[in-house]
Amino acid sequence: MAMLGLKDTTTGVFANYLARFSGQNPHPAWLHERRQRAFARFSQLGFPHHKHEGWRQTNVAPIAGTVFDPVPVPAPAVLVPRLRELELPGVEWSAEAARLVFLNGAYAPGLSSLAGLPAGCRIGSLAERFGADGESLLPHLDHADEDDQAFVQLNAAFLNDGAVIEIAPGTVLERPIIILHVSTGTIDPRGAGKGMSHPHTLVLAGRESQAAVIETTAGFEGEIYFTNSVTTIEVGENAAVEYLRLQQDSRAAFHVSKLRTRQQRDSRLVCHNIALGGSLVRNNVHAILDGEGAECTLNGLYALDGGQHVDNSTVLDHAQPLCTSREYYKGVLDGRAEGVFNGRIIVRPDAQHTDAIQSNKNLLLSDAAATLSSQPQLEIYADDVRCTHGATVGQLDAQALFYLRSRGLGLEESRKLLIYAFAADVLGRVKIAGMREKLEAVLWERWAN
Amino acid sequence: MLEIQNLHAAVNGREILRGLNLKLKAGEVHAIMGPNGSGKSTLAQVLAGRDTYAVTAGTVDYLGQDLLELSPEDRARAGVFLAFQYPVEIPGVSNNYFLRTALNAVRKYQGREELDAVDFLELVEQKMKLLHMDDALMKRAVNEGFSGGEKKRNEIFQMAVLEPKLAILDETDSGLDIDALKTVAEGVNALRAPDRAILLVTHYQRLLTYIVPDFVHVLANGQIVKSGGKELALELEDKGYQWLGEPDLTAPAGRARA
Repeated sequence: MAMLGLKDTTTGVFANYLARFSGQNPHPAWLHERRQRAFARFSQLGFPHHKHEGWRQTNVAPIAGTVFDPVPVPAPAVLVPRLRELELPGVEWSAEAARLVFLNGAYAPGLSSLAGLPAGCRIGSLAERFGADGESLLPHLDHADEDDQAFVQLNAAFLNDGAVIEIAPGTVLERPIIILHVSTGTIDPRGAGKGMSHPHTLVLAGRESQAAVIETTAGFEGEIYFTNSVTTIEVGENAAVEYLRLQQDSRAAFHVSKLRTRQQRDSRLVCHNIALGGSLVRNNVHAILDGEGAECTLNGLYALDGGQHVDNSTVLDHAQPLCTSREYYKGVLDGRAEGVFNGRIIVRPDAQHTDAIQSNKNLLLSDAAATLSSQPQLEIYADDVRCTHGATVGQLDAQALFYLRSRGLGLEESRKLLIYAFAADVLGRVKIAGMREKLEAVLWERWAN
Repeated sequence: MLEIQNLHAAVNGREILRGLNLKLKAGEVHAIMGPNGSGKSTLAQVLAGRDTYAVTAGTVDYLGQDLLELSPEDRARAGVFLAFQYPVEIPGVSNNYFLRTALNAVRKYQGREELDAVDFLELVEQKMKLLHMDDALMKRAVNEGFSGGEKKRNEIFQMAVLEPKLAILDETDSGLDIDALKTVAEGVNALRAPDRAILLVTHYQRLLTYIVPDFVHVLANGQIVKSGGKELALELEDKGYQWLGEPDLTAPAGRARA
């Protein structure tokens, strides 16, 4: 097979990719057609560039210019011992934990566990469902949002597998469902075998159900690969979902993600987005409040250093009246890191009595080398609403640092404590049992130097 | 315990301390008074190691060590404590965590055993009673949302827990109503000890009614211009600072009775 970058990929090469997928997972005709349609649409759109609205600060040319390989799934026998190298606060390996593990985008049943779930909860692999009753899931898989169409179409074109979680009405889950995506690649920029995966996670929470989902993406340090994921969460009437996305990719990896949520009446959804890894990362969120009285919280933390570039572009879409949204994103940037935050709030004409608060606060640790761009965007078409936004960029408070040191705390410990204190409220919103402490431990370690 | 000789210090190239000399022995309480801008707070900050001030000349000997050579944290660990004029708010860090970490850093440096959570709690409860403080305070973030009086009380509370050898109180009395002042003074008096020296930096004589000093010094224009016993404070209260040849243009209204 010819090795070409995605931007050069002709329909013929795409057909080859498809043929390889088919070899792994025989798929029905409707899926085949859907992929071809999506690929045609992607070819038409091309990769976004700086002239496209919403992409001015994030240059995806390194993704477009890299040759990726839909690498064969590494044999678990080879990969499993290596998994121990990864510190994964979001993953519980015990037999009682419900867990779906994907290696380079493909479901790994041997590492997964379907234990500990009540009768009203069905979880599994999308590929398996495609072979059975997958067509019924189709209406949930399509995203029509415009901002990130190219990557969403690319995901649809290469869609092969992913996680499906269906929670029946009234079902209450006691423990979180764990999803882990591990990607592999190569550390040689010129080498072959840079992995590429396009997983889709689907969470359908029925009326009055309650659940928590932790989704981790991870890779091995220094390896180059590309993950282009889409996650769809639908929250039924009066249901409550807590979703934690923990991005721990290799510092050489490319990561584009789309989180699309739709909430029915009186539902509560809290989405945490903790970004720690990757060299070039773009996280798109489109949260739709589509029923009266729905509440949505987007809670984010990006902790960057070196030359990492992380772009969080979020849309809070108030489509119905009397909904509440809270968006709190915080960034800690060291080295030459680049952070981008775009927070768009749309209040549709029907969405009277909307209550929306957005806040983006950033802490720069290095002198002038790290950069941050923060842009709120309010589009309000209703007249009786409360929408506020605020953004700050600051450095460690010299007075506070001196205060701590004057009580006997060392310089490094004082710095670490202040950074940690800055991020504390974001971590404090994580309610999944034990997770806040695990995240604190990881971050504490990270800020130790 | 502390011997300051010919201390010169500047901030942004402007000299504030201009040859200051001062000597404190263990067990003594000294008060430094002076008009605004005379260098009182600068002295306190320099002794604690604030790096915005540059020491341009002079020496400070603390228990046989060159104090100026030590980092702020090592000064604290060696027993120097500064009660801040403006205590800093640190959202996200609980008083409990902060104080226990501080105490254990000090104890470790002094070769003493670190305290576990239970022993620490016991110590804290005892010291909180001394300053009439609410238990809930320990769970709150350091100084966050505290009133001015609560912040000052929290400083003295920290001092009571850390048990320093040299305590420097920078205008701890400013902004306190009389009840709060009495509580703070009670806390300080309880810490008077034969092996501890206390340096009170203040603008007002009122504090010295409740914490009676052994010595009073007048600081003007970066130097000690007069030293005496506790009666010197009363003299200053009557006459203001002008009789020392210092125009006191910044003195707050209502302070001088004359």
